[in-house]
Amino acid sequence: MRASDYVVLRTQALRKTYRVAGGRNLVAVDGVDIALHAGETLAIVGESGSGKSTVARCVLRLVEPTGGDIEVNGRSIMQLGSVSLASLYREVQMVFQDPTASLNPRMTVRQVLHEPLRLHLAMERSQREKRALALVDMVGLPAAHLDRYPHELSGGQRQRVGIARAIAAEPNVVILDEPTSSLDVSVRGQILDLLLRLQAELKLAYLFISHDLQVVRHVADRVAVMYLGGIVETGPAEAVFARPTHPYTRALLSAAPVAQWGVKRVRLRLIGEISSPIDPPDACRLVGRCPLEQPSCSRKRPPLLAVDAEHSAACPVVLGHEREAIPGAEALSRRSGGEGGATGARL
Amino acid sequence: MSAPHILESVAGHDATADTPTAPPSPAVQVAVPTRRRAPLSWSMRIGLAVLVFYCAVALLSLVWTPFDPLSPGVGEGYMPPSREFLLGTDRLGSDILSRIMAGARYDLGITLVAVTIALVVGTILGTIAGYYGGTVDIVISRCVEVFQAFPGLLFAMLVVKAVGPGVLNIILVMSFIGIPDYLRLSRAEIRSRRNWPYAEAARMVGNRSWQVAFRHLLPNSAGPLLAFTSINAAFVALVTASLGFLGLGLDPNTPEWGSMIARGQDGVMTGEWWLSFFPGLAILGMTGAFYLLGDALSDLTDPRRRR
Repeated sequence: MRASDYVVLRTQALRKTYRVAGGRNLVAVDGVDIALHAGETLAIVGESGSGKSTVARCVLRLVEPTGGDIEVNGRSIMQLGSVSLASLYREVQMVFQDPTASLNPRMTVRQVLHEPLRLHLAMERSQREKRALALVDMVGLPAAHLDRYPHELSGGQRQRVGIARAIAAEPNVVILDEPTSSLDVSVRGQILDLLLRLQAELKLAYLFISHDLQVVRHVADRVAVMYLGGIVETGPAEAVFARPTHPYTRALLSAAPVAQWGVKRVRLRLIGEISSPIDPPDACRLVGRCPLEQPSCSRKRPPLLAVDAEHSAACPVVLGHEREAIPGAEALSRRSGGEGGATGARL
Repeated sequence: MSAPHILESVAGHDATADTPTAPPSPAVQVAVPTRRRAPLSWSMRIGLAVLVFYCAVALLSLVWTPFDPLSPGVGEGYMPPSREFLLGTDRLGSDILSRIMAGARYDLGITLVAVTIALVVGTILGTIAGYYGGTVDIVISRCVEVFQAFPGLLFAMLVVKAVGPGVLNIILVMSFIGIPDYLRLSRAEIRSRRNWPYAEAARMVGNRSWQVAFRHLLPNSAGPLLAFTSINAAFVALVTASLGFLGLGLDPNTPEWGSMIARGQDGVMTGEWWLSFFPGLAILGMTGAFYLLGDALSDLTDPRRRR
């Protein structure tokens, strides 16, 4: 379900490490390749600490990448200086997670919306006024709200202002950093519908950062699942949700509640907690947690392997590239018993 | 009204409270806040009123005082307050009321100018240091810390002794003493906000980094800064008077409140209390007003605290 083959945003071997105490490196993002096509929604899913937000912030150069390359509309943005970053922000915008913190408490909605029009598009005052009116209308706010301060708006209204600001300068990529996670459940659906409507109207490409699988299922065309800085599975949303392949994806999906009668779910549980991102070895990041683990998993970090044409996962064990295919349930229970892990593993 | 209906109207309020599709229930109308300015607090009113009064007196003294504040012998020496000399006369027979009125020019003028210079210079440096961090921050902060090694009054005494007396010198010294405080405060304020999403958002709508620092972050620090400015003004007024009291900085005959107290201090023992009492009261009134104003300003400048 791809709107276009034109790639608006591409990262190649994107890497971000932080120096931590003792001269060691915390690897937040490790070799991430994504390609976002015009008009589509690519969701990056993962738990906290998976590096999904860091990818988003690298793309906007809010965080300086340590390595790799980022291209926006065919142009590498890695070398952009502080001044030419403004040209990047005409093409890529962001909707922040917390609408309250992302609005200047001393600026009215009008002032917030005039800024990108004045600075990016160099509009005259009367043009700006007209455009600001159109923008609040597009995001479903009454024109009277133009004179309000953020503290005079509800959470959902604030996020609408944040969205209006993001689309004001007509970017073709919008990064949505968990745009609904700080909102009431009742408002969430409205904001998602608004985002989908705007995407259709304005032909926007969304990079959608989220940990909420229900939301992702609702909005995403394609999904990339991140774990400890790397993408472990990627593909069309239907395929990933219907046939999750990587053990981490399967654990993630089976942990989410399903509101449906009579669906008996096969659960896959991981052992223990997320491992340390500090100086990780060249191995599968799931080593020590995975019920399907093979000795070969510790030898080399597995690359993404094709599941089918568009769908790929970084697990040679599941995909039968290793000696054994998916082992049976008995074998698994024996394994977990032998390891004496805190959590049992069942398939 | 059925349950889904209620949900709908609540949800509708969030998006389009004013469109005809959303039924205007009373709850919705209450929930919509209106913009109104809070009435000024009492500490604000009193502080402002007193300071306006001092300014008025200072201006008035330029054109009119009951007697010439500088000429001795307009009355007898040590005359107690009376009809003719409302606040009495000093040792040389000068009218104390006239001298206090003229003194407002010195004490208030020095304070206001010195504080303004310190506020502007300190805040600009602090904002730069706080927003850009790194080497810039280290250089600025270290340079300023040198001045902070000395206690304020001692530093002022040393410098005034070295560069000589004069209103301009006192102003410069007093503003120099203030700069590190404004710098530290604004630096901390900006640092705590520079990684806020709204600072990043400001960058993303096309602002240059200095615009983010000075137009977006600094105005949000105005409350604490203005409140501190007012309280700092009280301190500056006190140090200015202290310099006068110690006989530093200005010509001893200048009608400055601190030096007036010094001239009258012997009288406190022998019963001529009015010589030092009234200039002291003038200082107390001014510093108190600055404190009151500072307290009230922090409330007023924060839009979230307007009701």
